[in-house]
Amino acid sequence: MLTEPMVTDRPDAMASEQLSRPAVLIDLALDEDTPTVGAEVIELASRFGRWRSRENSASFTAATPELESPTDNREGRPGSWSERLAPQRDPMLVAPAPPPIREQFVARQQWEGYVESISSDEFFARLVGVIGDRDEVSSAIPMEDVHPEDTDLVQVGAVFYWTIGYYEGPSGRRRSSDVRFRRMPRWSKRDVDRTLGEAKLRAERLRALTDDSPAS
Amino acid sequence: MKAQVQSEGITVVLVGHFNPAIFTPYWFAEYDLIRVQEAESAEIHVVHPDIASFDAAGIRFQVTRQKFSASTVNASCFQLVRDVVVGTFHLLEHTPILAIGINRDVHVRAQREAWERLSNRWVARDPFRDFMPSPAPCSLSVESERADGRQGQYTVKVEPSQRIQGVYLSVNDEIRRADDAVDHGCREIIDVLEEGWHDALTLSEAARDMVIAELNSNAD
Amino acid sequence: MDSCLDEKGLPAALSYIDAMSISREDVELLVVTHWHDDHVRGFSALIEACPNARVVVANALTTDEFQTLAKAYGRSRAKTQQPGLREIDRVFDLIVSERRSVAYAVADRVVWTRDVQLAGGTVRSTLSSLSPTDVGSRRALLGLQRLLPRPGASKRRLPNPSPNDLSIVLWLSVGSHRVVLGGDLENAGWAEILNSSTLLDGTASAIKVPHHGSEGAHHPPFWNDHVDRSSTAVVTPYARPPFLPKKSDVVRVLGAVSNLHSAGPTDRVKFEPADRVVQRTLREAGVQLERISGPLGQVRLRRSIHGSTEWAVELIGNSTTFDRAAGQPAGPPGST
Repeated sequence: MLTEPMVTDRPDAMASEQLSRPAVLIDLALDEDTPTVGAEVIELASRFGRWRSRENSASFTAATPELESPTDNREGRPGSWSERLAPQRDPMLVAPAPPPIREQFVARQQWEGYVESISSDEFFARLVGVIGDRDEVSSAIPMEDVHPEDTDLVQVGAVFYWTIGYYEGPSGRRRSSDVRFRRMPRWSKRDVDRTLGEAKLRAERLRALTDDSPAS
Repeated sequence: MKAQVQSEGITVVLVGHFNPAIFTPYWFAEYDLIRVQEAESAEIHVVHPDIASFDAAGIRFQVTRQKFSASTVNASCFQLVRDVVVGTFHLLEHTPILAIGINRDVHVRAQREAWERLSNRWVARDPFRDFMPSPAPCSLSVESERADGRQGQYTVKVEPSQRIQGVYLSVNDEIRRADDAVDHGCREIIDVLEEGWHDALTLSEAARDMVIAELNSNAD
Repeated sequence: MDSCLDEKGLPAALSYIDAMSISREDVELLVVTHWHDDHVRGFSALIEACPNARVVVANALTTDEFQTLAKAYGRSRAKTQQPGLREIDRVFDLIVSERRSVAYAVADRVVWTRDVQLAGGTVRSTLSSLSPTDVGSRRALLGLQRLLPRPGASKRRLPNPSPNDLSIVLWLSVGSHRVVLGGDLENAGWAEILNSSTLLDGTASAIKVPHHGSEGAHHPPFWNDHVDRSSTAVVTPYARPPFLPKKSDVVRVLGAVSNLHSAGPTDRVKFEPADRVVQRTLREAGVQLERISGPLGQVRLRRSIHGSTEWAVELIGNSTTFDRAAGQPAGPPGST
């Protein structure tokens, strides 16, 4: 009988290694009625990733040590598997790997901008290049280029990213222009109190400095 | 053939204690971290009390009880990854987070011999020839303390790409929770992420550009 | 006085000092008139490079209110997030950490003085701040209260508050000559200076036009009483909306002075990215980009201390002279 799966990370993974890879294991506790379940486990494991097995009639082990990241550098390609014999105490079930990303976006230009003024059908923004040309430019941007869910965010001082590029995939290439307004974090009471404290301290230090004006 | 970037991704990984069950695309939209339309068109892989994995707003979210990661291969979403992670943990400020990693993975398309030429320049093989018939570096990692004096480190790894003909570069910017951190949640470390994001990206861009320049300095 | 970055990303003043073979150790005074982006970029680098210079800042910037703004919005390292406040935040950190010599500018304060022995006798030079006035400071700080961070408010970028009541205006006297450096002070501030200043003696023969020549910063009584009709004026362009000086501003200023020069191009410069995918996308969207930070220029004014010769004007780089009749630049940018 299958019991509730539990999830653990590899207990011996060092923090640094953990931080460089997203990693998932699911422990599946199996009881003694395993031959049938074991076959299902192997089938799932071979479908989604690597698995390890051990010679134990009561249980099997299958694991993919890491979920697929589309830009990592593990050997093999998504969906392939390798077999190893390794003694394990607890059998584990593979978590299904997310599907590989099929379309690659190539950014040719990205600006970080902020709104300087707004009129009825466009807003004026100052833009600084983040990807591509790094010049500082300004532009009037039509409001119709703003996603309907972002229109409330169009206020003087609002920050946005404007990215121009193309998606490249099996069906070819398509250009894209996306204006995305930042959902800025909000000031918390803690943030405000900390800022006020630091500001007050520095203000006191500045006022304590001797004014070296000739007339003072 | 000039070396050039084939694919590039940013991943933010947080190590701590999380509750995967709450992280759904709709949760992110409800708190205005992503658009509602993005939540509605999200692709959900797993949602379970112990693991959540889905793609939304161009970002891949993967959460277990010990780890939260947000990654994207879409350069237009790099800043969004920061905003979503910072926004999430401003809301969940009591979440214990022990460390944060900001990672850039780059696959650079280059000539077949690119890795060999690069590694020849960077790593001496002669000391190994005394006892190995054909020594060849298979990966190179360089670590450094952080420039800002905080706990953590930078790690840059360069090795042959397993995905394309060329070279793979990984840059990891790791920030650890200070030993003398006052709060038991994550406010301090998330503030460090927010304030240090620009520098982290600048550092990884510099590493990427250096490797590409090195590859191209000997390219035919 | 103030700072901007040249094409190499260095403070333009530093590049100029080095080009003139002036020792950085000999720089005596660094004045930051106010904290707007276009006046402070690179100022902290100037402070670090000139170890003996006294730093002059408006006294009002040492208040808790302004320090809170600088701390709150100076943290972000993102490109568009408050570069002016970020720079001024760094300036104050430097002043405190290095215990730099400072002078706090208020109305009618002498911030520097020097007596020089010349053949014809001793020549006294003084540099005085005419603003911010008490009234202007109070008005400005009340306005800044609205911008202070509050729990629950979004961490948006702050617009530059206007009018700019916290800008320092400097009055330079060298012997019998007077120069006014107008900062970004606007109308009410000039009226307050006229009403209260006791240091305004005589008329200026050169003026750095306040606030990029905008109408709101042109206070006719001040110009009538303290700017000589035969004076030489210099304006720095503001190359984004509302794009200053406008043609009407140029005509107005030229009506009050003998000649007017601009430290950079005043035309709106169209910009097209090099990438063809981007070009096509912008064209299809009907979007036109205009360049903000064009190549810099400099206007150098020199005159002898004794005698009544006019200012010798040198145009360097992309600086220009305005044609009186046309109200527009007279010809191609000067280059010396």
